[in-house]
Amino acid sequence: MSPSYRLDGPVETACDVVVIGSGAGGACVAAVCAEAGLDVIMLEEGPFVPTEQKPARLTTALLRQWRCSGLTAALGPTPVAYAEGRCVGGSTEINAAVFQRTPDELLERWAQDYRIADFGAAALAPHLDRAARVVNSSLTRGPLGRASEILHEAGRKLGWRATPLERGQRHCVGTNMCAHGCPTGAKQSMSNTLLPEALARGMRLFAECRATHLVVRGRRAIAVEAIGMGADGRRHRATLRPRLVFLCAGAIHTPAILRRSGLKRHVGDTLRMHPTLKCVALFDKRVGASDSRFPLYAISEFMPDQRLGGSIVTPGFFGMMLSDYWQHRKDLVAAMDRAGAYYAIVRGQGVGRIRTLPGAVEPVVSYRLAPLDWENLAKGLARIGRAMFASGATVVYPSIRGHAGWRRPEECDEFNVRGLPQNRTSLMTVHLSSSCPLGGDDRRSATDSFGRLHGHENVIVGDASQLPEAPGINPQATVMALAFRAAEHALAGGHELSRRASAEANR
Amino acid sequence: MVSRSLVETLLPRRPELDRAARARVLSDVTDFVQQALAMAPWHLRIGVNVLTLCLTAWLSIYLGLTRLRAITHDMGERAIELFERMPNPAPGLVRLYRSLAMLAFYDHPIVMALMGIESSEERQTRFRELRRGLDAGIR
Repeated sequence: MSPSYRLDGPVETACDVVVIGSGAGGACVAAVCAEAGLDVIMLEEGPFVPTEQKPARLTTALLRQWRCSGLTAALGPTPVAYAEGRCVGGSTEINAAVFQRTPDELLERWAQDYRIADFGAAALAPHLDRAARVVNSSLTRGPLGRASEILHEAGRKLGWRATPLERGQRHCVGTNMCAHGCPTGAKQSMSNTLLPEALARGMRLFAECRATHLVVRGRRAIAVEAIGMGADGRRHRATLRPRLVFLCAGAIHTPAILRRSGLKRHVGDTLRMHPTLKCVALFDKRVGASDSRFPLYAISEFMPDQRLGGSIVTPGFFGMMLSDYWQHRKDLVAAMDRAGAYYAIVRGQGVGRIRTLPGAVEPVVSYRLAPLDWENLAKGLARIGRAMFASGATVVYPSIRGHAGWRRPEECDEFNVRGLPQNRTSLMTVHLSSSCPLGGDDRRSATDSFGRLHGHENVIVGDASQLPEAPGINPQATVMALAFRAAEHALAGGHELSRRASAEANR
Repeated sequence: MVSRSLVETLLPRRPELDRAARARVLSDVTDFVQQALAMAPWHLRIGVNVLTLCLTAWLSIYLGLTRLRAITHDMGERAIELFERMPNPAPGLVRLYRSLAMLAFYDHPIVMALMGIESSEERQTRFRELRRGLDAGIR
């Protein structure tokens, strides 16, 4: 992939399309628009980090490629830490590239409940197929390691369905450095797939350039205002005058940009997520989690409401996980080779909000878990605990401050009746969604069925904020499919740019 | 805002580091904690700064107004442990500092070498070579 475009001073330019954000949604939109021969400018707030420059150290990766160095949290009675990528390729650069197709029944239900036109399993299938092809969604070859076998074995012993996870990868050699940005280019992130293709077709990528707001006149966005780091190391203002704007900045920053632009109707009011509760399990025998692939099995028996899986373990992450109750758990560091990190992830029913304040780059995110979420987390934690014991764990330490750990499977039901201690439970998530939901009913959706902001002709959303609800699966496939669909519809559905795109195609 | 002494108090004692190595690791960990917090969202930063003042005041009171750099590791650990037992958000602050410090500590090549773990740099190089070899085979 060629280097990104840098501002050499204040810029004011017109183009066909501006895509804000370069992650799973933005890259799909850019691919469709660039293929159609349109003049596309992509804005990405973070830097471009090519494969050969991916940092070896996790600390460097956090500072360079993660939003706010990973210190982001949704505030509420129980805060939920969340993680997002902030670099060219977005979160696809730092995630584990798990690719899960949206279940057909969920798509059908969304179509009905949210009155989404031309939606459902059959309508989304070609877009999901395309997304799967782009990232080469496939099972990882070769030995997966003990960390994966633990989940497989637990499923077999407990009679629970355990499913191997497909990932967007090509000849993965198992560096276990997914969170750093894949150092070998095996992970089929957006910087390794769609973005180079779009750049080859003439797209201009402005990295380290943050879209601040849209300038709206009547029913149209007439400009996108941005501030970018120039080649001279100074910040410069960019004013872009596109005919079409795609917002693909993710479930937090897409609503933030819209709200800063005065577009607030049903925007940023319905944030959903997958609250996740982790545990550390200690075994008698070697697991070698930090030395092998992250667990590539998931216990899918309780999906879509609960999924049990495993996390990436590196010495740094492991040390961090023990911080919940360091006084009691510090000795586990010496046993890291016999330990693994696993989690229960639930399809959150709670709702959160995103609010901006003048002058602040980062919005304030709040989220309140629903009572059912707490119930599901307690059940999920008990189940992952039992799964660990079924595979030979000797102690399981849930991410609950002050918890001494479980030593027998029966103890795992501890919170099923009395509930989790909400002020001592450490929650996190890497799946945020639904903050600008699509739908046919403008009384409860931010956009129409194809991502066009209600009441505005040329503002389209194409990212995780479009999902009507938390999907209960890894959302990347759904995000990519919705983004392909939104872009194709915008270009084919009578928009002024569609005529130009057709002319380019016929040339 | 983040003092080196506070980070030092949070660092684990194992693996044991000689004086020079400990100074180097402490410096790198403190730098990381400071940089990470500087990048945090403004509303979290404000909260962290206010609470850090409280923690510093608590440490001063607990340690009999001893200057932070003069305290022993044990005394500091005990003071932080007691602060952690206070109601929220006090434990959250300690957890935040500790998480960042642990992450940077165990990610440090000096520490990894002492633990007998291949450093991230070595690991990255090894896997890049493996991948190049496989690519050559595939072609």
